[in-house]
Amino acid sequence: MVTPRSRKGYSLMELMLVVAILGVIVSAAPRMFTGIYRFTRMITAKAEIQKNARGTLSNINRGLRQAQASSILVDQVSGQPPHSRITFTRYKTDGSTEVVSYYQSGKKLYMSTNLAAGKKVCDDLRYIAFTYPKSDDSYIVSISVTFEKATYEGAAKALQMAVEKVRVMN
Amino acid sequence: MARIFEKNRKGVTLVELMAATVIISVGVLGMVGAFRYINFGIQAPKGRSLANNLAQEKIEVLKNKSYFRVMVTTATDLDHNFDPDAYEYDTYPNGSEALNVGGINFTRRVWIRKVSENSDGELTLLNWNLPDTGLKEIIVYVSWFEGGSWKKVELRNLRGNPDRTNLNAMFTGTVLEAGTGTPPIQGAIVRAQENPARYDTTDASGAYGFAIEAGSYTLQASRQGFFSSVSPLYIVSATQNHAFTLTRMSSGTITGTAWLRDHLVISQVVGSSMTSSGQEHEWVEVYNPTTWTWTMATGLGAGANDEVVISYTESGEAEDKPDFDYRTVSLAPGSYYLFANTGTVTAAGVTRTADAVYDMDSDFGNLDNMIQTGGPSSGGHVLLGIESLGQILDIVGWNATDNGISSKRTAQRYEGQAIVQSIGFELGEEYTRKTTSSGVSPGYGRCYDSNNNENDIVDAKPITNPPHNSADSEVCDSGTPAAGAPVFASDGLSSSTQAAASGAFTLSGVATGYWTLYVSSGMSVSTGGVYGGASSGFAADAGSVVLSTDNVFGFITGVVTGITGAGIPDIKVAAGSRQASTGSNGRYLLPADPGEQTVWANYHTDNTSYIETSSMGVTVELGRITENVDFVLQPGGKLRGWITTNGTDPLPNVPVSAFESSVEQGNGITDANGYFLIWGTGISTGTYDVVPQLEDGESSSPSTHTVALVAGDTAFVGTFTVTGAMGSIRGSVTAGGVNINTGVLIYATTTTLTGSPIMPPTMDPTTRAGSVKYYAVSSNAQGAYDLPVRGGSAYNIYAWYTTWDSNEAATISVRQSTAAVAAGQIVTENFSW
Repeated sequence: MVTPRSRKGYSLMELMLVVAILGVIVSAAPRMFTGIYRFTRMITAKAEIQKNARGTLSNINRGLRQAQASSILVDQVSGQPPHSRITFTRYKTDGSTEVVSYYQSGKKLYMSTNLAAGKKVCDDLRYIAFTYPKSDDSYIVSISVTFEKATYEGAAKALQMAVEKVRVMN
Repeated sequence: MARIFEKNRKGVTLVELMAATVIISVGVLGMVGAFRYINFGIQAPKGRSLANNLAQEKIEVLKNKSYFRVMVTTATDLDHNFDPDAYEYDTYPNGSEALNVGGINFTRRVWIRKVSENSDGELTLLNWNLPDTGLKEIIVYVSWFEGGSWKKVELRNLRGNPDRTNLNAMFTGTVLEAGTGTPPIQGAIVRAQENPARYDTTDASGAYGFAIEAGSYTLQASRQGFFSSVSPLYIVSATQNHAFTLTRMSSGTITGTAWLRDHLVISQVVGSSMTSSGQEHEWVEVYNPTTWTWTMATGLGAGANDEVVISYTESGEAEDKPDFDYRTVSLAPGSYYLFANTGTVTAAGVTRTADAVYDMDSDFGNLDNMIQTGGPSSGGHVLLGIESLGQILDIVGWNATDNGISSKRTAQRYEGQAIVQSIGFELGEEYTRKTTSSGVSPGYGRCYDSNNNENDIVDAKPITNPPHNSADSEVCDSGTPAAGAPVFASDGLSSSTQAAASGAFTLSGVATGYWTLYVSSGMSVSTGGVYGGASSGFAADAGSVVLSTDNVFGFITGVVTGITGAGIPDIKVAAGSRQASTGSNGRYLLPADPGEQTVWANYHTDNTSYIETSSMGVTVELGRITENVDFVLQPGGKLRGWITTNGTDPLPNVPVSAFESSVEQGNGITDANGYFLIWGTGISTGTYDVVPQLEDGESSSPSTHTVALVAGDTAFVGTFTVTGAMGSIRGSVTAGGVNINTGVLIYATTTTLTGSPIMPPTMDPTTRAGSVKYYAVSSNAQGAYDLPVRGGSAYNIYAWYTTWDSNEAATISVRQSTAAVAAGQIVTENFSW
């Protein structure tokens, strides 16, 4: 009754080999996934804060260039780091003026126009300071800004520091 | 049960599984690879836009400075990271800056040059030591390394002097040839001697015209082949016309032949002398046409003494290298050396002892037959070389076109063309090198070597030209023709020519007078003798000119004249590390390293009665001559002075300008001791206003010193007391011993800040207009800061460092210090948390 066996199953050896290979793959996979995950987080974080830094600086720069030098006031919101707020009157394209203020509150940067409530510009702000290199020259303002973003629990932080000197035109 | 096993298996085999794994791995690896490119994609535009910002910032900074504070580059270097397109940049006085922005290391450099704008609006670049033209070109380079290669951003801008003196005066006129018909001279340069930056070149009608600042000027017109002419002193405020007539120099012709004599030659080969006693003497005679003694062997006798050796190769056979028993170790210039198969050879009635005996079978006593002779015999060649260097000095080869053995007819090696023979090298036959191209003249050295055996060697049978040895000395009348060698004279009128294939040359258009003749090849040079003639149309014969001195240079020639047009002797001319002095007629010949060179006349103001001047971008080629690099030297001197902050302390790094008629003629920078020295092309004799170039907020007492400069003098202009100059406070900021890379706010002020916690004052217009000054800066990403402050005060320094907790509540911590800062001083203050 029993037909000559043509063996279609696995041998014990084959099975052990498969289990061994799978074992290696399974044990290596999480490490690889973690690596890829960290890499992606780092890249995303870097890209984000670089975008923040560039965007923020060029934003402030553009506004400040059109400011009236005599209107500039540098101080800070109560309880916040020193000289983390700048307030100035700038010309709009239609010739009218508006009062613009950039300030740090916590680790966020806000912008307010004409003393209205501030709108958030960006997160992850570690440091911002507006300085006059020489207080007797009202036309040169230096902006220094650092963004910092933690990538995941307890690991490296992405950092981006940028400095720009702005020449006030009016 | 059995049916189960009969079922077709639907699972996967191990092979399939592995194949699937491989395919999946390829996909996964591809994705990982893609991350790399995504990262590049993010980084690349970032690097470029950051570099652009940095370059723009530098341009802004430079344009914010006062015109004379934008200091022109005086020393440059090349950035070879960009080879072959290396760019040139300033190493002094501006230097390079290393900047780290966004994790990329940038190098920011500048190159600032004086430019002049001509009437067509075209810009010409000028050397830094020429007087100011009121216009400077600024180039800013930012370079960085990214993605495996160097990248660069370059921005250019022009900076004009807002107080520029207008070129409201004008010189016009013509330059004509003296004599009948007065044809116009094209290409003559008319230059204002007092301001060499102002000049024009005549057009086809001989006309020139250029604008200049109002003032007093002498013009000089010069053109190669003519005597220069100088105008009287003109005081111009509008247009001044002056017509020049230049006298053409008379000329003649120098002819000669140029020879190279740089190696030993085989001067005679005899394969069998067939003496009366039936002995077959054979020898190879060598002649030394060079000017130096050759070492033929390292010692006397047989053994390992070989230095200069001979060998013989029969056509179709391997080279025969004999052993040598040296009897003479050296070969003097103009002498012979005899290699023979026996101690004494006899031919043509002459007996000579051998200088070296060669042997093929370890028995120097028998007469070895190394060189195959007979009628017929094989073709072959004799080779002369230096054993230790493997260098071949000379080859003589001969064919035997009709010797009956087709495989032994052609010499394996020869020069140009082997000696044409029908039945080969015969008994009693000689191959003797010619003394000149026309044949063998007894009494002259056998040295004619045009690198063609058939043309250079005569064959004779029986032997009529006797053998020579080291006791024989004869004068060489030829050598190797120096085909293509440049030939030039120091007259300044003739242009260079090249020797023909025969070595002959004809240098025409040589000015009357007696001149040094130069003949050069890529390898060697002759500074020749003095040739020429006194009358127009002279013909001088330089005879044989031998190139024997090794040459690694190209040559620059020209003339250095004073403003009267007369040559100035003993003026030092330099290019790179090479220097030469002008002769009595002001002419110079400067050997220079091949490449692009800047040539300096009166190098380092060696003769203090004149100013230093230079010519940029002179191209020098090995063994070639670059002509007409001419200079006009102004009588000149130097201006020296001192800048102090209080009468005692020096103030370094302040640029000082010297003005004449409101035009900046030169500038210097104070050294560490506060002294400055101004010299250069613009600092001629005359009256100068010397002015320190001050920063915003600085003042000088007096603001100007006026001094009259006499030729050759170093005039001390006086002392400037500058107040309000800047000093600097710098240092590091650390937290727990680690540099803070997130930013610390630093303030320096002469007042004391109060409050709890201490905070900087609100920077409103009132504060800024107040008498108390505040200086502020943020530390950089490397944890360092540099705060320029006005010198001469004691400052309170404050530093604020903010940290954040998880609820985004700020902890602001302040550190405080004090420091006294003098003008020009750098004070270090570090802060730690």
